[in-house]
Amino acid sequence: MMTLLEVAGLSVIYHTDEGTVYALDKIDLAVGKGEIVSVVGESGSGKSTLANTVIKLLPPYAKVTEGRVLFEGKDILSLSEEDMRSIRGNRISMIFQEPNIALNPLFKIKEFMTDVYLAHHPEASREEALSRSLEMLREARVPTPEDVLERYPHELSGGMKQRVLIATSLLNSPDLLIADEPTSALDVSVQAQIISLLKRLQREKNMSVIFITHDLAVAAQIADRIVVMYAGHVLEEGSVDEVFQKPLHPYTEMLMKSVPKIGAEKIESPPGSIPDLRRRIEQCPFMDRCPKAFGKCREKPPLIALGDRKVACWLYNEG
Amino acid sequence: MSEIILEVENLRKYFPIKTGFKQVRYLKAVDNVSFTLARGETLGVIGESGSGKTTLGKTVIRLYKPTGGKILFNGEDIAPLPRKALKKYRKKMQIVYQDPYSSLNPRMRIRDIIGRPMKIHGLASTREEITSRVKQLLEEVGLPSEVMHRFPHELSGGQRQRIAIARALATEPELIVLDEPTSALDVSIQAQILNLLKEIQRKRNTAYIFISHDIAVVSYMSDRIAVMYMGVFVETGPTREVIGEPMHPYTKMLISVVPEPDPTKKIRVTEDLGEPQLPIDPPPICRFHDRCKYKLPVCDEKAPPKIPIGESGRTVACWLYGKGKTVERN
Repeated sequence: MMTLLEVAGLSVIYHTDEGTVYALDKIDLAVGKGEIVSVVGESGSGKSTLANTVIKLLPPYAKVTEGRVLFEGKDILSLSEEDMRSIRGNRISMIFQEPNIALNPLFKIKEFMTDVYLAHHPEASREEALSRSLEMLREARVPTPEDVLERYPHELSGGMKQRVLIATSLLNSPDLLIADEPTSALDVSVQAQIISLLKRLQREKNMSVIFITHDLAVAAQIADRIVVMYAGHVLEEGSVDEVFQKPLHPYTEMLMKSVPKIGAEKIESPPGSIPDLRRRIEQCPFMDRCPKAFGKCREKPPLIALGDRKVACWLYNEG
Repeated sequence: MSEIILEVENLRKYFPIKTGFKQVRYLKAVDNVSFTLARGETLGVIGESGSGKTTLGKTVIRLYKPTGGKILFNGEDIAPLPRKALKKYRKKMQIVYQDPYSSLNPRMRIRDIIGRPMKIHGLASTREEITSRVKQLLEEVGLPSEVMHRFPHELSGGQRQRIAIARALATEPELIVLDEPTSALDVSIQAQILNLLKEIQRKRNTAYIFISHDIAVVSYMSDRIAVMYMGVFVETGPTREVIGEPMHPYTKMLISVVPEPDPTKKIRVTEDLGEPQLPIDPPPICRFHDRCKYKLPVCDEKAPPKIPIGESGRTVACWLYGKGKTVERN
């Protein structure tokens, strides 16, 4: 598989009133062409920071301290904002958790969508933009798309708004779609429809997707490959089948045991919570909560390859 | 199970919506809902957004005044009582909300947040007494007693939810409404809180109404389940039966779309499943009629009655089961 996106040794910090927050610490990630990679993590894991770095939407108080983000071999981080604008919303697009924040309440859907198209196709006419919008709404299985184009966001349901945003994100046929918890604000029946829709569109367009979620069940549904993050570190990576069948990292294992499943008699509740990110973590980030921790864990384990999988844990590292 | 502490009969809560000059329509958030709850039991209420589950929880403990129906709490009907007369019941009924960031007063120290209900209800009077009871409660919810000198913003989401639980326990309630108590938390923290709630129930024999959109969470926590859709209970029964063999087409649909953390069990949605509407002056027919794939002609004509199934107290409000008919269970 050809690599579309490569993140190498990426570290990001936030300067906040309460001190420096180490949000990402030497992250490596590769996304192949036509692949769906799900980045799974709890709050504070850095999953959204990772997404925002890739699309260069970090807030001004954030700083990339090291690493590279290569999109088709080109370093995105060194691009000017102007150059980035021709990529963002065009080659790489993004959908967010809250459709209400993404849509402008003052504009009709048709104005919103055609603007996104025209921004990257200045030569196109409004009619072309409108017909392209209609086409994408149809592909996103929006019922009565002509009618939806004439509506304001508040007139649409949450699920419909998310469909509109998916349609909008695909207007310019992106190579990479970043979806940050796109179904977390939706009801389960709507979530199932949105996931099916995303999978279908991804297949038809051979697009690459980074799907960010806190929900392991959702990741299991959509991903080809899964990347488990914790406290700004990647702890495990592998094909979705392998990781769910046999998680390697004790954190992944814990995460799976703490998800309530229908019909499950008991869930385990691991003690503790994520470490304070205002200090740079020098040990294994999961050490304090890990039932299998031993002396070596005071040193940070590197992410090592085990066949097709990767894990950052001394249990698997002879060295 | 043991002694019934709550009996709700035909409970209704309508919110008026002004739609034009002198025109009033009603959002029938809770419409003729009936159930019972025994001491130490958990009734889980599942439903999607707008189903009325939160309104139900708030109405049952009289944070809202019902439009109609009865709420028999230990045999006394609290539905028609005026505010003042409710005070003596308040301490017996508590609520824990979803968002531990907005449910705790940011200007109060933890000691006062937990101690205040004791003071209001005269359960402790001296400073020493309150402090020592706050300490006990903190221990019960798994927090160190030093936390009592802190402010909410100094605590994590999971810790705050533990405080909200300790506050609810401060008045020794017989019933606690848990309204999405873990929906804002990470899964590992959610697991801690769910197991803590179970532990508390085992020790204190408190009855819970556990409200959530998360079916796996509700089924983990509940003895019985009620499935709510647009203001009505479409199906109720023991958890294992409702989850294992859902009968109402809505319950079936809902359970079929819950993702499992298992990539070998993928959900395929090929048809349009629709979305629920708000029950604003809904016609007196089945509220699921427009999304139902088993629809009969009668479904567009009359609201289905609540049909008892078997001996376990199971009910389903669906015409498919009206005349001893059954449908394929999938």
